[in-house]
Amino acid sequence: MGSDEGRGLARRHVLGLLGGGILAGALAAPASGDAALDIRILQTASSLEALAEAACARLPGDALSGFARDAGRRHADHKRAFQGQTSTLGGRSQDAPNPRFLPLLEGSDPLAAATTIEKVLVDTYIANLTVAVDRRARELLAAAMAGAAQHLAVLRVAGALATTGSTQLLAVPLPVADLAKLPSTVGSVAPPEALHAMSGPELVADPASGALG
Amino acid sequence: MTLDLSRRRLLAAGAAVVVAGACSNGGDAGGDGDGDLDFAAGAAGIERLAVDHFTGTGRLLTDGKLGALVPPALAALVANAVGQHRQAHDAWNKVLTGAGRAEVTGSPAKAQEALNAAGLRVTDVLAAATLALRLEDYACQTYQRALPTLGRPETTTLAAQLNVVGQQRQTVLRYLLGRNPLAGAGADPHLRLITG
Repeated sequence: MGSDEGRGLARRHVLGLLGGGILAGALAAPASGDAALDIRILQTASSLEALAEAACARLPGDALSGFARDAGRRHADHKRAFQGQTSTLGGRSQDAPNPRFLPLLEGSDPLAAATTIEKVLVDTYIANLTVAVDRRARELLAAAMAGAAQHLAVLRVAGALATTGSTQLLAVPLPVADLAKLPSTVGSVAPPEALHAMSGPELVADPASGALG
Repeated sequence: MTLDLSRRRLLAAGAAVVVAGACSNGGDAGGDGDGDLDFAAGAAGIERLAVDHFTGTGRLLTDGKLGALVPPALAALVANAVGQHRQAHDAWNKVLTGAGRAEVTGSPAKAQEALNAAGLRVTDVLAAATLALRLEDYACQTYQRALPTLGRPETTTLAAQLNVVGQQRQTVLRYLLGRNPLAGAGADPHLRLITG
Protein backbone atom coordinates (compact mmCIF):
# COMPACT_ATOMS: atom_id res chain seq x y z
CA MET A 1 0.00 0.00 0.00
CA GLY A 2 1.42 3.42 -0.90
CA SER A 3 1.92 6.10 1.69
CA ASP A 4 -0.83 8.44 0.49
CA GLU A 5 -3.27 5.58 0.16
CA GLY A 6 -2.45 4.27 3.62
CA ARG A 7 -2.79 7.63 5.33
CA GLY A 8 -5.95 8.36 3.36
CA LEU A 9 -7.54 5.13 4.55
CA ALA A 10 -6.61 5.90 8.14
CA ARG A 11 -8.15 9.37 7.87
CA ARG A 12 -11.33 8.12 6.22
CA HIS A 13 -11.73 5.63 9.06
CA VAL A 14 -11.47 8.39 11.66
CA LEU A 15 -13.69 10.75 9.68
CA GLY A 16 -16.33 8.06 9.37
CA LEU A 17 -16.33 7.62 13.13
CA LEU A 18 -16.66 11.35 13.73
CA GLY A 19 -19.18 12.45 11.14
CA GLY A 20 -19.00 15.68 9.21
CA GLY A 21 -21.42 17.60 11.41
CA ILE A 22 -19.28 17.14 14.50
CA LEU A 23 -16.22 18.28 12.61
CA ALA A 24 -17.79 21.57 11.66
CA GLY A 25 -18.24 22.56 15.30
CA ALA A 26 -14.50 22.52 15.99
CA LEU A 27 -13.78 25.37 13.65
CA ALA A 28 -13.58 29.09 14.17
CA ALA A 29 -13.85 29.47 10.41
CA PRO A 30 -14.52 27.12 7.49
CA ALA A 31 -11.63 24.75 6.82
CA SER A 32 -10.93 21.85 4.53
CA GLY A 33 -11.64 18.29 5.64
CA ASP A 34 -7.95 17.66 6.27
CA ALA A 35 -7.60 20.81 8.37
CA ALA A 36 -10.81 20.07 10.24
CA LEU A 37 -9.58 16.69 11.44
CA ASP A 38 -6.15 18.06 12.25
CA ILE A 39 -7.80 20.77 14.35
CA ARG A 40 -9.71 18.19 16.34
CA ILE A 41 -6.55 16.17 16.82
CA LEU A 42 -4.77 19.29 18.09
CA GLN A 43 -7.64 20.28 20.38
CA THR A 44 -7.72 16.79 21.87
CA ALA A 45 -3.94 16.87 22.29
CA SER A 46 -4.29 20.20 24.14
CA SER A 47 -6.89 18.64 26.43
CA LEU A 48 -4.60 15.69 27.17
CA GLU A 49 -1.70 17.98 28.02
CA ALA A 50 -3.97 19.92 30.38
CA LEU A 51 -5.01 16.65 32.00
CA ALA A 52 -1.42 15.46 32.38
CA GLU A 53 -0.39 18.81 33.85
CA ALA A 54 -3.08 18.36 36.49
CA ALA A 55 -1.95 14.79 37.15
CA CYS A 56 1.63 15.97 37.74
CA ALA A 57 0.40 18.54 40.23
CA ARG A 58 -1.16 15.72 42.27
CA LEU A 59 2.02 13.65 42.52
CA PRO A 60 3.44 13.27 46.03
CA GLY A 61 6.22 15.63 47.06
CA ASP A 62 9.63 14.71 48.37
CA ALA A 63 11.54 12.61 45.86
CA LEU A 64 9.23 13.28 42.94
CA SER A 65 8.66 16.99 43.49
CA GLY A 66 11.35 18.10 41.05
CA PHE A 67 10.15 15.66 38.43
CA ALA A 68 6.53 16.71 38.91
CA ARG A 69 7.46 20.35 38.48
CA ASP A 70 9.52 19.74 35.33
CA ALA A 71 7.00 17.36 33.79
CA GLY A 72 4.12 19.70 34.55
CA ARG A 73 5.97 22.59 32.92
CA ARG A 74 6.65 20.49 29.82
CA HIS A 75 2.99 19.56 29.55
CA ALA A 76 2.08 23.24 29.78
CA ASP A 77 4.61 24.01 27.03
CA HIS A 78 3.19 21.30 24.80
CA LYS A 79 -0.35 22.48 25.41
CA ARG A 80 0.55 26.00 24.34
CA ALA A 81 2.25 24.67 21.23
CA PHE A 82 -0.81 22.60 20.31
CA GLN A 83 -3.06 25.57 20.95
CA GLY A 84 -0.92 27.79 18.76
CA GLN A 85 -1.12 25.40 15.84
CA THR A 86 -4.84 24.97 16.36
CA SER A 87 -5.21 28.72 15.88
CA THR A 88 -2.93 28.69 12.86
CA LEU A 89 -5.22 26.14 11.21
CA GLY A 90 -8.30 28.22 12.01
CA GLY A 91 -9.57 26.37 15.08
CA ARG A 92 -10.47 27.43 18.58
CA SER A 93 -7.98 26.76 21.38
CA GLN A 94 -8.80 24.01 23.81
CA ASP A 95 -7.68 24.71 27.37
CA ALA A 96 -9.71 22.28 29.46
CA PRO A 97 -8.61 18.79 30.58
CA ASN A 98 -9.87 15.93 28.46
CA PRO A 99 -13.32 15.11 29.86
CA ARG A 100 -13.23 11.45 28.87
CA PHE A 101 -10.17 10.73 31.01
CA LEU A 102 -10.74 13.35 33.70
CA PRO A 103 -12.16 10.74 36.14
CA LEU A 104 -8.68 9.18 36.30
CA LEU A 105 -7.62 12.12 38.47
CA GLU A 106 -10.12 11.07 41.12
CA GLY A 107 -8.29 7.81 41.85
CA SER A 108 -6.70 7.29 45.24
CA ASP A 109 -3.23 6.62 43.83
CA PRO A 110 -1.78 9.72 42.12
CA LEU A 111 1.27 7.79 40.89
CA ALA A 112 -0.88 5.16 39.17
CA ALA A 113 -3.17 7.84 37.74
CA ALA A 114 -0.27 9.84 36.31
CA THR A 115 1.25 6.67 34.84
CA THR A 116 -2.00 5.75 33.11
CA ILE A 117 -2.49 9.29 31.82
CA GLU A 118 1.03 9.52 30.38
CA LYS A 119 0.41 6.25 28.55
CA VAL A 120 -2.86 7.61 27.17
CA LEU A 121 -0.87 10.53 25.78
CA VAL A 122 1.79 8.31 24.22
CA ASP A 123 -0.70 5.94 22.61
CA THR A 124 -2.97 8.72 21.37
CA TYR A 125 -0.09 10.59 19.76
CA ILE A 126 1.19 7.45 18.05
CA ALA A 127 -2.26 6.83 16.62
CA ASN A 128 -2.64 10.44 15.51
CA LEU A 129 0.76 10.51 13.80
CA THR A 130 -0.68 8.10 11.24
CA VAL A 131 -3.66 10.34 10.58
CA ALA A 132 -2.63 14.00 10.89
CA VAL A 133 -1.68 15.71 7.64
CA ASP A 134 -0.35 19.10 8.72
CA ARG A 135 3.43 18.91 8.98
CA ARG A 136 3.68 21.19 12.00
CA ALA A 137 0.96 19.24 13.80
CA ARG A 138 2.91 16.04 13.17
CA GLU A 139 6.11 17.63 14.53
CA LEU A 140 4.30 18.66 17.68
CA LEU A 141 2.70 15.25 18.13
CA ALA A 142 6.09 13.55 17.78
CA ALA A 143 7.72 15.91 20.28
CA ALA A 144 4.92 15.55 22.82
CA MET A 145 4.95 11.77 22.39
CA ALA A 146 8.67 11.70 23.21
CA GLY A 147 8.14 13.88 26.28
CA ALA A 148 5.30 11.70 27.59
CA ALA A 149 7.41 8.58 26.99
CA GLN A 150 10.13 10.04 29.22
CA HIS A 151 7.60 10.85 31.95
CA LEU A 152 6.19 7.35 31.67
CA ALA A 153 9.66 5.90 32.22
CA VAL A 154 10.23 7.90 35.41
CA LEU A 155 6.82 6.93 36.75
CA ARG A 156 7.40 3.26 35.95
CA VAL A 157 10.73 3.36 37.80
CA ALA A 158 9.01 5.02 40.76
CA GLY A 159 6.30 2.38 40.67
CA ALA A 160 8.87 -0.42 40.55
CA LEU A 161 10.72 0.97 43.55
CA ALA A 162 7.46 1.26 45.44
CA THR A 163 6.54 -2.33 44.57
CA THR A 164 9.87 -3.68 45.79
CA GLY A 165 9.70 -1.67 49.00
CA SER A 166 12.68 0.43 47.97
CA THR A 167 11.06 3.83 48.04
CA GLN A 168 13.96 5.12 50.13
CA LEU A 169 16.05 4.81 46.96
CA LEU A 170 13.70 6.96 44.94
CA ALA A 171 15.43 10.26 44.37
CA VAL A 172 15.50 12.51 41.35
CA PRO A 173 18.32 13.14 40.71
CA LEU A 174 19.74 9.88 42.03
CA PRO A 175 22.88 10.16 44.20
CA VAL A 176 25.55 8.25 42.28
CA ALA A 177 26.42 6.42 45.50
CA ASP A 178 23.01 4.78 45.36
CA LEU A 179 23.41 3.42 41.83
CA ALA A 180 24.63 0.01 42.96
CA LYS A 181 21.79 -0.28 45.47
CA LEU A 182 19.03 -0.08 42.88
CA PRO A 183 17.29 -3.38 42.16
CA SER A 184 17.60 -4.86 38.69
CA THR A 185 13.94 -4.18 37.99
CA VAL A 186 14.78 -0.48 37.61
CA GLY A 187 16.74 -1.41 34.51
CA SER A 188 14.00 -3.51 32.99
CA VAL A 189 10.74 -1.79 33.86
CA ALA A 190 11.10 0.97 31.29
CA PRO A 191 10.79 0.03 28.56
CA PRO A 192 9.33 -3.39 29.34
CA GLU A 193 9.12 -4.37 25.69
CA ALA A 194 11.00 -3.94 22.42
CA LEU A 195 8.07 -2.29 20.64
CA HIS A 196 5.93 0.01 22.75
CA ALA A 197 2.70 -1.89 23.39
CA MET A 198 -0.35 0.14 22.42
CA SER A 199 -3.43 0.06 24.64
CA GLY A 200 -6.86 -0.72 23.26
CA PRO A 201 -9.31 2.02 22.30
CA GLU A 202 -10.45 2.35 25.90
CA LEU A 203 -7.15 4.08 26.68
CA VAL A 204 -6.70 6.07 23.48
CA ALA A 205 -8.29 9.49 23.14
CA ASP A 206 -10.24 9.67 19.88
CA PRO A 207 -10.07 13.04 18.12
CA ALA A 208 -13.63 13.90 19.21
CA SER A 209 -12.92 13.42 22.90
CA GLY A 210 -11.22 16.78 23.43
CA ALA A 211 -12.53 18.68 20.43
CA LEU A 212 -14.58 21.83 20.80
CA GLY A 213 -17.90 21.08 19.20
CA MET B 1 39.87 14.48 21.06
CA THR B 2 37.37 15.93 23.48
CA LEU B 3 34.23 14.07 24.38
CA ASP B 4 32.20 16.77 22.68
CA LEU B 5 34.08 16.48 19.43
CA SER B 6 33.75 12.72 19.56
CA ARG B 7 30.01 13.02 20.11
CA ARG B 8 29.62 15.37 17.16
CA ARG B 9 31.59 12.97 15.01
CA LEU B 10 29.37 10.07 16.04
CA LEU B 11 26.21 12.02 15.32
CA ALA B 12 27.50 13.39 12.05
CA ALA B 13 28.62 9.99 10.85
CA GLY B 14 25.33 8.40 11.70
CA ALA B 15 23.28 11.24 10.26
CA ALA B 16 25.03 11.02 6.93
CA VAL B 17 24.29 7.33 6.75
CA VAL B 18 20.61 7.71 7.47
CA VAL B 19 20.16 10.58 5.05
CA ALA B 20 21.68 8.46 2.35
CA GLY B 21 19.57 5.48 3.33
CA ALA B 22 22.79 3.51 3.20
CA CYS B 23 23.67 0.30 4.95
CA SER B 24 26.73 -1.83 5.30
CA ASN B 25 25.56 -4.57 3.00
CA GLY B 26 26.14 -2.51 -0.08
CA GLY B 27 24.91 0.93 0.88
CA ASP B 28 22.21 0.60 -1.72
CA ALA B 29 19.10 2.63 -0.95
CA GLY B 30 17.02 0.35 -3.14
CA GLY B 31 16.35 2.66 -6.04
CA ASP B 32 12.57 2.44 -5.89
CA GLY B 33 12.13 6.02 -4.73
CA ASP B 34 10.23 5.07 -1.58
CA GLY B 35 11.40 7.37 1.21
CA ASP B 36 9.84 5.25 3.93
CA LEU B 37 11.81 2.22 2.79
CA ASP B 38 14.99 4.25 2.54
CA PHE B 39 14.44 5.29 6.11
CA ALA B 40 13.68 1.69 7.12
CA ALA B 41 17.03 0.60 5.69
CA GLY B 42 18.89 3.30 7.62
CA ALA B 43 16.98 2.49 10.81
CA ALA B 44 17.72 -1.22 10.47
CA GLY B 45 21.43 -0.36 10.27
CA ILE B 46 21.24 1.76 13.41
CA GLU B 47 19.40 -0.98 15.29
CA ARG B 48 22.08 -3.46 14.21
CA LEU B 49 24.69 -1.01 15.52
CA ALA B 50 22.86 -0.90 18.84
CA VAL B 51 22.61 -4.69 19.07
CA ASP B 52 26.35 -5.02 18.56
CA HIS B 53 27.17 -2.18 20.93
CA PHE B 54 25.02 -3.42 23.80
CA THR B 55 26.24 -6.98 23.25
CA GLY B 56 29.82 -5.75 23.59
CA THR B 57 28.98 -3.66 26.64
CA GLY B 58 27.29 -6.63 28.28
CA ARG B 59 30.38 -8.72 27.68
CA LEU B 60 32.60 -6.06 29.27
CA LEU B 61 30.32 -5.94 32.30
CA THR B 62 30.23 -9.72 32.66
CA ASP B 63 33.98 -10.05 32.30
CA GLY B 64 34.61 -7.45 34.99
CA LYS B 65 36.43 -5.16 32.57
CA LEU B 66 34.51 -2.14 33.83
CA GLY B 67 34.98 -2.85 37.51
CA ALA B 68 34.18 -5.68 39.86
CA LEU B 69 30.94 -4.13 41.04
CA VAL B 70 28.30 -4.06 38.32
CA PRO B 71 25.12 -2.18 39.29
CA PRO B 72 22.23 -4.66 38.87
CA ALA B 73 19.98 -2.03 37.30
CA LEU B 74 22.55 -1.16 34.63
CA ALA B 75 23.27 -4.83 33.91
CA ALA B 76 19.53 -5.45 33.46
CA LEU B 77 19.13 -2.46 31.16
CA VAL B 78 22.04 -3.55 28.98
CA ALA B 79 20.80 -7.13 28.77
CA ASN B 80 17.29 -5.99 27.87
CA ALA B 81 18.59 -3.51 25.32
CA VAL B 82 20.32 -6.28 23.37
CA GLY B 83 17.09 -8.20 22.86
CA GLN B 84 14.98 -5.10 22.30
CA HIS B 85 17.26 -3.66 19.64
CA ARG B 86 17.45 -7.09 18.00
CA GLN B 87 13.66 -7.19 17.75
CA ALA B 88 13.67 -3.66 16.36
CA HIS B 89 16.25 -4.69 13.76
CA ASP B 90 14.10 -7.66 12.80
CA ALA B 91 11.01 -5.47 12.57
CA TRP B 92 12.64 -3.06 10.11
CA ASN B 93 13.95 -5.96 8.05
CA LYS B 94 10.45 -7.38 7.91
CA VAL B 95 9.28 -4.05 6.49
CA LEU B 96 12.06 -4.17 3.91
CA THR B 97 11.60 -7.76 2.81
CA GLY B 98 7.84 -7.31 2.73
CA ALA B 99 8.37 -4.61 0.14
CA GLY B 100 10.78 -6.69 -1.89
CA ARG B 101 14.00 -5.17 -0.63
CA ALA B 102 16.98 -6.98 0.83
CA GLU B 103 17.54 -7.27 4.56
CA VAL B 104 20.07 -5.00 6.22
CA THR B 105 22.55 -7.23 8.03
CA GLY B 106 25.28 -4.82 9.06
CA SER B 107 25.88 -1.51 10.76
CA PRO B 108 26.55 1.80 9.05
CA ALA B 109 30.33 1.76 8.72
CA LYS B 110 31.10 5.37 9.65
CA ALA B 111 28.87 5.35 12.71
CA GLN B 112 30.37 2.01 13.76
CA GLU B 113 33.84 3.47 13.42
CA ALA B 114 32.94 6.52 15.48
CA LEU B 115 31.31 4.36 18.14
CA ASN B 116 34.32 2.08 18.29
CA ALA B 117 36.63 5.06 18.76
CA ALA B 118 34.47 6.40 21.57
CA GLY B 119 34.33 2.93 23.12
CA LEU B 120 38.11 2.83 23.51
CA ARG B 121 37.80 5.44 26.25
CA VAL B 122 35.23 3.47 28.24
CA THR B 123 36.89 2.12 31.36
CA ASP B 124 34.12 2.06 33.96
CA VAL B 125 30.40 1.54 34.27
CA LEU B 126 29.54 5.24 34.29
CA ALA B 127 31.44 5.81 31.05
CA ALA B 128 29.71 2.78 29.54
CA ALA B 129 26.31 4.13 30.54
CA THR B 130 27.21 7.54 29.14
CA LEU B 131 28.17 6.09 25.76
CA ALA B 132 25.02 3.97 25.70
CA LEU B 133 23.03 7.12 26.37
CA ARG B 134 24.69 8.87 23.42
CA LEU B 135 23.82 5.99 21.12
CA GLU B 136 20.21 5.90 22.32
CA ASP B 137 20.01 9.67 21.95
CA TYR B 138 21.25 9.43 18.40
CA ALA B 139 18.77 6.68 17.49
CA CYS B 140 15.88 8.58 19.06
CA GLN B 141 16.77 11.80 17.29
CA THR B 142 16.82 9.90 14.03
CA TYR B 143 13.31 8.60 14.65
CA GLN B 144 12.16 11.95 15.97
CA ARG B 145 13.30 13.76 12.87
CA ALA B 146 11.74 11.23 10.52
CA LEU B 147 8.33 10.92 12.17
CA PRO B 148 6.73 14.03 10.66
CA THR B 149 7.88 13.00 7.19
CA LEU B 150 7.04 9.31 7.00
CA GLY B 151 4.08 8.47 4.81
CA ARG B 152 2.93 4.93 5.46
CA PRO B 153 0.94 4.34 8.66
CA GLU B 154 2.76 1.08 9.38
CA THR B 155 6.17 2.69 9.00
CA THR B 156 5.13 5.68 11.08
CA THR B 157 3.75 3.48 13.84
CA LEU B 158 6.87 1.34 14.00
CA ALA B 159 9.16 4.37 14.13
CA ALA B 160 6.98 5.92 16.84
CA GLN B 161 6.90 2.73 18.94
CA LEU B 162 10.68 2.43 18.72
CA ASN B 163 11.17 6.08 19.55
CA VAL B 164 9.02 5.63 22.66
CA VAL B 165 11.08 2.71 23.96
CA GLY B 166 14.30 4.49 23.07
CA GLN B 167 13.18 7.59 24.96
CA GLN B 168 12.46 5.39 27.97
CA ARG B 169 15.88 3.73 27.85
CA GLN B 170 17.47 7.18 27.64
CA THR B 171 15.43 8.39 30.59
CA VAL B 172 16.48 5.46 32.76
CA LEU B 173 20.12 5.85 31.72
CA ARG B 174 20.05 9.54 32.68
CA TYR B 175 18.48 8.54 35.99
CA LEU B 176 21.15 5.91 36.65
CA LEU B 177 23.83 8.47 35.85
CA GLY B 178 22.44 10.84 38.48
CA ARG B 179 21.21 13.36 35.93
CA ASN B 180 17.83 14.90 35.43
CA PRO B 181 15.99 12.01 33.74
CA LEU B 182 14.06 14.38 31.51
CA ALA B 183 15.86 15.68 28.47
CA GLY B 184 15.81 19.44 28.22
CA ALA B 185 13.25 19.79 31.01
CA GLY B 186 11.62 23.18 30.87
CA ALA B 187 13.01 23.97 27.46
CA ASP B 188 10.91 24.46 24.38
CA PRO B 189 8.84 21.44 23.37
CA HIS B 190 10.93 20.61 20.33
CA LEU B 191 13.58 18.04 20.93
CA ARG B 192 17.06 18.86 19.84
CA LEU B 193 17.80 17.33 16.47
CA ILE B 194 21.00 16.12 14.95
CA THR B 195 22.80 18.96 13.29
CA GLY B 196 26.04 17.17 12.46
